[in-house]
Amino acid sequence: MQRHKHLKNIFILIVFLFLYLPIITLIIFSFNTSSLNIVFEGFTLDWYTKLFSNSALLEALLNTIIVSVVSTGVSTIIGSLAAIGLYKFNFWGKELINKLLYIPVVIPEIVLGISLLSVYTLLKLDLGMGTLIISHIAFSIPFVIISVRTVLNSTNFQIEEAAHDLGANELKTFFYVIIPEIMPGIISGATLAFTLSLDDVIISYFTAGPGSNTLPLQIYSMIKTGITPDVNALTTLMIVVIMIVLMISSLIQIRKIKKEAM
Amino acid sequence: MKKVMVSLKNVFKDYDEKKIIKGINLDIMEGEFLTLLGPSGCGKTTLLRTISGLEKVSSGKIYIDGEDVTDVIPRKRAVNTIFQNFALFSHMTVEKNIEFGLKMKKVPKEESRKRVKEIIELIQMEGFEDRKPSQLSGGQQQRVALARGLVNMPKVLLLDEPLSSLDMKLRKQMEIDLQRIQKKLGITFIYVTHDQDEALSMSDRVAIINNGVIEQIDTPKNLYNYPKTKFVADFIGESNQFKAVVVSCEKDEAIIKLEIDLEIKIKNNNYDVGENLVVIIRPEQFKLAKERDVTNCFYVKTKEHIYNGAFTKVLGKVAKKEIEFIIYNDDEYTKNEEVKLKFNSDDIVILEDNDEQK
Repeated sequence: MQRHKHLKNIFILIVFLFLYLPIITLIIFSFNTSSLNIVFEGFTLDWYTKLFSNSALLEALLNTIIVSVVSTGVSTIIGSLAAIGLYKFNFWGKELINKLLYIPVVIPEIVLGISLLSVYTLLKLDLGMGTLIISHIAFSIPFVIISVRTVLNSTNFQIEEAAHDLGANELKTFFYVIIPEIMPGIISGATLAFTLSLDDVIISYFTAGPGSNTLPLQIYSMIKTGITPDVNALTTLMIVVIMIVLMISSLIQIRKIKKEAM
Repeated sequence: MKKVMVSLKNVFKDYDEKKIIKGINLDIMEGEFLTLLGPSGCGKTTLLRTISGLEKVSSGKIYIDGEDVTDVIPRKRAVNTIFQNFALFSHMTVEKNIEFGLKMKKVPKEESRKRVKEIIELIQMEGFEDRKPSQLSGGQQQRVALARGLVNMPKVLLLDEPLSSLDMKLRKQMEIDLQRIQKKLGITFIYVTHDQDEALSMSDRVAIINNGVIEQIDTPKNLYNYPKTKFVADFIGESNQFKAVVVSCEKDEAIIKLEIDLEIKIKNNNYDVGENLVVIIRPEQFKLAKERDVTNCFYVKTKEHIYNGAFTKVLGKVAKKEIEFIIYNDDEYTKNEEVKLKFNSDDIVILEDNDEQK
């Protein structure tokens, strides 16, 4: 029994090391005085100050935030409405659309990137923030639809009739009953869209133009000449931000669970 | 004299060529507890939905409290529905669920709060105001659904098999609660169910629906004692149905011959000799006959005894006809292969055999 327990703990340790060792290494080397990621020579914050004076990187960060926020917002609204429409109404070709939804999900990103680029060229659109945002909206929508649809499938749509019966008109039913009821699906769809947009490289590579460099693209171009510690510093900062967001969301969740248990 | 609260005039409903409701006329009185009872697929739920407006009638008129509401949309009708699966808003608390209708009707906050509080007391759910539906038991959810409808003080409350998802014990309790609440508030209840026990125990009147038409509408007692069709006799309670033919007619009396080769004397009700009839005898209307009894007696070969506490149900056979009768446990009865039964010809129900005419 005792030996089994040790084996179990060792196994867990290995799994965690496998997951977190690269990240820990990266964080440590972001404070390294040497510009080579091989030996740790001494502690410094130089890379962080260097990072904040790198205007190209900061511009890329701003672009990324704009693209992610706008594309998440638009794709969440379109995707949610589409999911409700696909769920509620029967029309010719509905089955086909439901099947087609999965194509952008399973298709290699590089194919999607090339095809979007050829569409833009055909339409003679200049590559830039506009085309980048449109591309991100395009690949996010199916994810939102699928996520919202999952919740819709487990929702009892008689609540709609109940709302009408209790005196709510179509609009009030939609905003007071349907939307809050499927909110978990909308939120998870939006989260998915946001994370996909945030770290997308391949599609952005094809559809971004001058002046619309995103953070992943910028990092990608920086590491072509070897990984420099300022990239380490940047990713460390990103990890910190993600940790804070995760912590806040779990705190909210814990508080909610506690409240419901009362 | 009570006024008519809901009136259906010649209501028809088709779904793509398929006739669901085939001409229903029905008047429901103010404060009445009326049940629409029928097998699944008979159109009872559809009928209920035409009253709430969630379903449009194909033809006919619907009046609520004297007003023609045939073309009025659901939210403008003074009725509320309790749905089979409750249809509670899962993201809202108990209180918010109940409050919803009042909020939609823009009832002032103060009055709304008072009415919600009163109704929560009525359904005995004090202390649960801030819970979400998922944190409630089935019976509690049922109460909340009921309160959410009742708080609007509808003229009519429509209940669509509200107890079907509850277990037996809870259902019995809810039956009592429903009756108590209905009598207290005096709201007209129209209740849909396929469960005859529910229908008989709660209703003032029951409408038996079959195949889109009302077979019979009457008090539970009359439905049981005086069924007007074979379907009603069969659907309400247990019944033995015997084919019979009129043998001879006199001024006041007629003699008919049952399919079990038994001739009985009944009141003449304008019968013709040779006319086909159906005789309905409830299991409990058979009594053990004594040796000396001669009229309305016959011998039964017993097949099975089903003990049921206060009584024993016996399945037997007479001339290839299966019959069912009841022996009370204090009766002097020993399990025999053959038993002599009698019945009183005044108690039995005699119907014309419509099948033969078709």
